[in-house]
Amino acid sequence: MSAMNLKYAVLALLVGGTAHAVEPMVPYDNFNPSESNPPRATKVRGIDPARWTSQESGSRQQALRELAFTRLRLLSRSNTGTGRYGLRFTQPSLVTAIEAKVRVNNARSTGCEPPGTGVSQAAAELSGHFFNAATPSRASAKDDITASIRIVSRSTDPLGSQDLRVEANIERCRDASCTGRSSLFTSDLGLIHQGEQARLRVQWDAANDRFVFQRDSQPEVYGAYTVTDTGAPGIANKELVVTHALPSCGSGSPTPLGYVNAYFHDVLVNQSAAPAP
Amino acid sequence: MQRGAFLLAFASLIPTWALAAPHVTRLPPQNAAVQCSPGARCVQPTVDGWVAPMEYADGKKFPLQDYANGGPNGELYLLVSDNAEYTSEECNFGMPLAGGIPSVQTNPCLSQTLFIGMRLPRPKDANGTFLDAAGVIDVWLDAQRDATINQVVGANQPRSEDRRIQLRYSTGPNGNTTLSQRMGNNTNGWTALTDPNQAWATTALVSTPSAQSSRVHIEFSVKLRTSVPPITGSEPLSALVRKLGLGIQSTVFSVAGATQRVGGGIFPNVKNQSPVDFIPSTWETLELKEPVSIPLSFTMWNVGQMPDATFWVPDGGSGEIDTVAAKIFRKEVACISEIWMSHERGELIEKVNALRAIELLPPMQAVTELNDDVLKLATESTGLVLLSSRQILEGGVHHFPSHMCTGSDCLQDKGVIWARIATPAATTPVVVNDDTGAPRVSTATDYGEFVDVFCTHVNAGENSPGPDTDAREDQLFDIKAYVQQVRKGGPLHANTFPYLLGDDDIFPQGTWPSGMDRPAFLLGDMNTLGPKATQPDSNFPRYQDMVGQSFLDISERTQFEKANSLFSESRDLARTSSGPDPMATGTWLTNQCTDLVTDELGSKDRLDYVLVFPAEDTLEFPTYALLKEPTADVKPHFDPDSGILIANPQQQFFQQCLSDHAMVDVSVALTKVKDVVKYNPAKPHRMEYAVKQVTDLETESGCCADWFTPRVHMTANGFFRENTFLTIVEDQTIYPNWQVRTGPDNPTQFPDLPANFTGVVNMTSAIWEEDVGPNDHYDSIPEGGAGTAVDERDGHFSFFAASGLVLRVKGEANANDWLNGLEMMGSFLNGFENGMSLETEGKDHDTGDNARVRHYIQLKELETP
Repeated sequence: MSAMNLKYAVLALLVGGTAHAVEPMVPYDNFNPSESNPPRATKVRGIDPARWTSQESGSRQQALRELAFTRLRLLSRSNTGTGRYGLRFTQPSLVTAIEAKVRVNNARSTGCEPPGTGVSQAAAELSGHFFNAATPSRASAKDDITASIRIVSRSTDPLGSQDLRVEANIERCRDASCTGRSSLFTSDLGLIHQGEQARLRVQWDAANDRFVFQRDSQPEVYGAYTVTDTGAPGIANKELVVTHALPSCGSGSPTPLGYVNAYFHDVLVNQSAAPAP
Repeated sequence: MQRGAFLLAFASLIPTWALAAPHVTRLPPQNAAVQCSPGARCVQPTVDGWVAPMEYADGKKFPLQDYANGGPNGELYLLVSDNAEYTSEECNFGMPLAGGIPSVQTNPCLSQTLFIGMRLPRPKDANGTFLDAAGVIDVWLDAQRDATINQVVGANQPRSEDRRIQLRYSTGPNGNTTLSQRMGNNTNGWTALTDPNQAWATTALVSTPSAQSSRVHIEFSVKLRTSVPPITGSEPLSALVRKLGLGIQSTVFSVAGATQRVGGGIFPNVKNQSPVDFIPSTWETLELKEPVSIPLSFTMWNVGQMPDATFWVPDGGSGEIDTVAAKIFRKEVACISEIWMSHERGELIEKVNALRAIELLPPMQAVTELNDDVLKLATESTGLVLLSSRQILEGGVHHFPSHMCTGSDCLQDKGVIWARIATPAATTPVVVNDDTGAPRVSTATDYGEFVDVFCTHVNAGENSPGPDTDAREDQLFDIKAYVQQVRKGGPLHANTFPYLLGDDDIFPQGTWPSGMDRPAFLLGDMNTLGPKATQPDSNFPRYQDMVGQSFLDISERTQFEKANSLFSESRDLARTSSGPDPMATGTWLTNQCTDLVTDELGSKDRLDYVLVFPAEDTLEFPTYALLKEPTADVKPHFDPDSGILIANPQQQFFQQCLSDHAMVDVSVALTKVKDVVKYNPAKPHRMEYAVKQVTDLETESGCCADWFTPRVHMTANGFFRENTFLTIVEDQTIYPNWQVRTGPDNPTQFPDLPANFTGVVNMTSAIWEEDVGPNDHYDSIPEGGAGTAVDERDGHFSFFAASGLVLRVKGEANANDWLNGLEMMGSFLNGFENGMSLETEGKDHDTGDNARVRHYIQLKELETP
């Protein structure tokens, strides 16, 4: 445990809470350049390059990443492989907690035929590589521990259902690109309707060797881990993304589909990651 | 290139001869063969000395202004009948069709005839008693107009086929009239007729009717002679020409005891350019052809974009903001309903304009509710967006009183959005001579060239009588009251029954020019089942109620419509499809569609409308009429990519349209039937300056600026007035109407401009935004860059009373800067009866605090007390 984290752990004990003992959340970007929260010294046109950089992996047939009036809009439509598309925080190592309002307007996942031979998945996520559980090597995600809170569509969802699922995940990267992952923790935070907005939070509570997840005002969910958490992640990355993970279907099967059209706004982070004015 | 610069460049290309071309008015003749039948009777003037405006309803109205003496304006009515003969039962037959028309009428009606009706003000004595009048009316007729226009040698002088008719009159017990006619002498004057058959048969009568004691009524009928010997070369109604040169001058004699000489006037109505007795090119050209068309198109579409707060209610169809934007970005005026969330309405406007930018189209303007109040429920809005590719001159948002709803509709604040849309005629270039006499093209928008458009969405639910229909009818009544209050020119700040101010209504300050003199349009999801094509209204009782007298009150014909035979009387413009199936106007699709939906529209219910509020029902002419016949088209927008398999309860392939409502497109054409009053320096005037629209250009996205102004300033005739409007108005675009004007209503002395005023009136405003740090003084002019002085950020304007010119000027730092013109807006001598406006735009690239501002200047003629 780092000295800083130890300090916060002590603070947590003093205030008598658990997750509340971690850093308070502060505004990072509301995606409203006209009335920015937090305020900016100079107004920006479009997505603020001082706060965000591009995140893009995999391939897709259609993609949109744009400021849509007072929200960030991310759209991805893909029929192959895995991919992540969206925005990364420019100072990821400072970010230990992410909160945002997320609305998935539409999501659809189509798997392989016959059913069960391959499951497709598409999601809108707040996620990050928070630490490395082994000896990190530069530019390799192997053994990075990722945590995410996401709204997911799967091809196994009931036909025609308008319901998606909110999930919390802790995973360990099995390779340098983190394409392969091992699940350390997963929690179902319930159904969410397409078009329903949710306030999502993922927060690393290093003092207690766990991640804290929360959907709206529901009780916090804790994902504990037992791996060592003192190593910096090989890929320091915190992000707002839409993702897809699609199977390779056999001949005769329709092409799989992973489609997400999501909006993000009112992004908060832990206080020490607050952006410069 | 900016529009102003472009127009100035354009002006330099205009040949000087074109500027000297005669004034032209399109006057469609009344054609008995086409317009009149026993089942659709026409009306024509009866020359009886009583000038009933409705007798001239198939003609046109003009003001008669006395530029020498001032005084009240007179009226001139013109009507021409075409070549076809009338039967006795198709015109002026039976009971008069409209008010004011005497029961004794000329029958059968007269073909090939020019009717001139004049109502001239009578002089008054010091006690206000009307006196008898006397004067002379000259009427000049140029029978070969094309020769004059084409500058054929000798044509621009009275020739033998041309005529001058002169009526000398006096009224009262000893009144008399003398009518004479002369023909051109082929040189520079007029000569007596040598044969009675050379006359263009003319009748004239003068009266002072007791029903209108303030006016002398003078009426002419003149047979438009064709080339039948002994007349040769007369061609007004010949198929290849259909033009007539016409000059009219009313000259009044002084009357003993009169306080003022009144009743003069000229046609064409141009100050300092009276018709010259022996120069036909100074007379007006009447083009006896179809009316000038001002096209406009309207789109109504409920796009079913539901809010996150009611996430269990699915969207109406498969459409999203970007697919909706892709379908509407080329539209002219669009009413979009059911976009419940502020940020989706803002996103739609951004998307539409991004698509337009790709096609190099100017951005659409919009009226909607945008706010960044995180505590405000997304459903607390009308859910409406009114977009226009033409300028929006005024705008507002009205919410229905909160008790007028049922069920889940009470989660929302439904209502009406209003936009005053500039027609294409508003920006028609006008050539003006500047103070050096050089021709320039004015850059101002004519504020009189507009239509009011309303966009609404009323209570959903059942159509059988009950709480849903009761709530809907309450809303319809409220719509009618709001529409009337808007159209008459406001104000909207207080409850003046039947108009009720709604919660969180957005509206301009003060008042604005009336729009009662023209049709207005209501676009909306009325949630009321209506007939398609020829289905009888009686099968749709709620529809009958909606358009009937108790609610929208648009079903009755106006007096003008009863008397007119040329224009459309349609009220429900999307009732009949202009495509192959007239019944294909159903709009309620439900949330499931197939690719056959286009063929099924005839069997769908109709809920979405484009309705017409006619011009105010009076015994006078409206300013605009609607040409026959508007066209309509309904598009369901099936989405072939929407298909999904659902288990309901058996597996089923489910497809959708973009929305559960079809899009309604209507195209109309307006035409002007009344000419405008022009600036007459011989009369007193009220000057007004206002900020009509402010748009934030600082960021590409986001919401919302918080606007105010510490300064709307005018200096006139040695006095000044400076108004402040410090209450914050929040939105990306606002329509505030921050104004200053001369007149007795001001808290400090600021008199109106007196008759024969020759000074200069100066006007300016400052645009500010409240900010978390220091407030920002926005740049609203292209000059000045990042400079912070008022001359570098604020628009400045001067009106030159001696010439009628309005210029955007350099500023106010030095007195002469008010005279230093940057841009020619226009001249009130050319019209602009309802004022002129100009958009300016800031170019401060350092702070980015730039605004686009619409400035408005009006010169309103006052009568001498």
